Amino acid sequence: MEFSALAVPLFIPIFIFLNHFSATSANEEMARSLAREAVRVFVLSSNESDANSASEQAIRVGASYMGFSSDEVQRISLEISCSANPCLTPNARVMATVIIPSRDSSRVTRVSAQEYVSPWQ
Amino acid sequence: MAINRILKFLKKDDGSISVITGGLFLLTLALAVTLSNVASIAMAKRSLTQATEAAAQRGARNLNTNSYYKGQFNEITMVKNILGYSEADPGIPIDCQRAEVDVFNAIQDWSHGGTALKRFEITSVNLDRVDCDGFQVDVTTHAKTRLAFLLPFMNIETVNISSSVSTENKRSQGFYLFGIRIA
Repeated sequence: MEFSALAVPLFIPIFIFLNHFSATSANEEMARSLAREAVRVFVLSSNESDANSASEQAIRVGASYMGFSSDEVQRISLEISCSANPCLTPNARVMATVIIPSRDSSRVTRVSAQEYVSPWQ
Repeated sequence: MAINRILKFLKKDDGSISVITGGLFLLTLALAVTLSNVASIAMAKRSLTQATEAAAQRGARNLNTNSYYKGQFNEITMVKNILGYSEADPGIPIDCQRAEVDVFNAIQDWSHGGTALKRFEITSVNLDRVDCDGFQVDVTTHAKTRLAFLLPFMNIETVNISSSVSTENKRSQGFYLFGIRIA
């Protein structure tokens, strides 16, 4: 009785914190890898239409490999922003932002990665 | 009388569970804090490595055109190629001066990016070294990372993380005519 009265209020917050921290960190790491791959695929594409579909595809395939369920994969969104118009201008900076909402949508992981278009594009 | 009371108090084991639970709680708390700090440093290091990699790749894309087009294709080289005595591919030459500038700019862009781009623990990013031998670019960066939890008994507030990346260009395989891949 004494143990339960002490352990429950002391340890449960720690377990909640560790669980939340690990879920958030894992989501952020995966989002960072996905953003990196998406932006790489984007800058290596030959035209903008291919670049958009290829980076979307990279997100879908990558997320499935990382263990996201098909429902979670559908909820992942990708935003591309560029320092030049059109995006695939030589030396332009391209930034991909991956947004992953948590299962209960209470928290959103938002991570970006940037790359530069080849001067020989 | 008083000694007897003290001895009696010391012999009583009421509340011993509280002491053990308290000790275990402190131990668990210390472990949780240490694990969180280690995990956040590992994530910051990974973030820095990705940025260094992007910067190195940007630098390596600067083609040294003078070196690249030296010894142009002519009748003699054509005969040599047909006879199987073609030159060995030395690699793709990099313009080191422009590569260094691009690497520096890429790291600057990243370090001034928002928290979505770089981990919030990373406080200062420095480009330590850019080595370029004409065919390969090596980039070394270092940054300071704030700890998520400051431990009073450790007296550590920041941790230095460092990252090194090397990159080179590879000629894509295939048969090209005027930049168009035929086979």
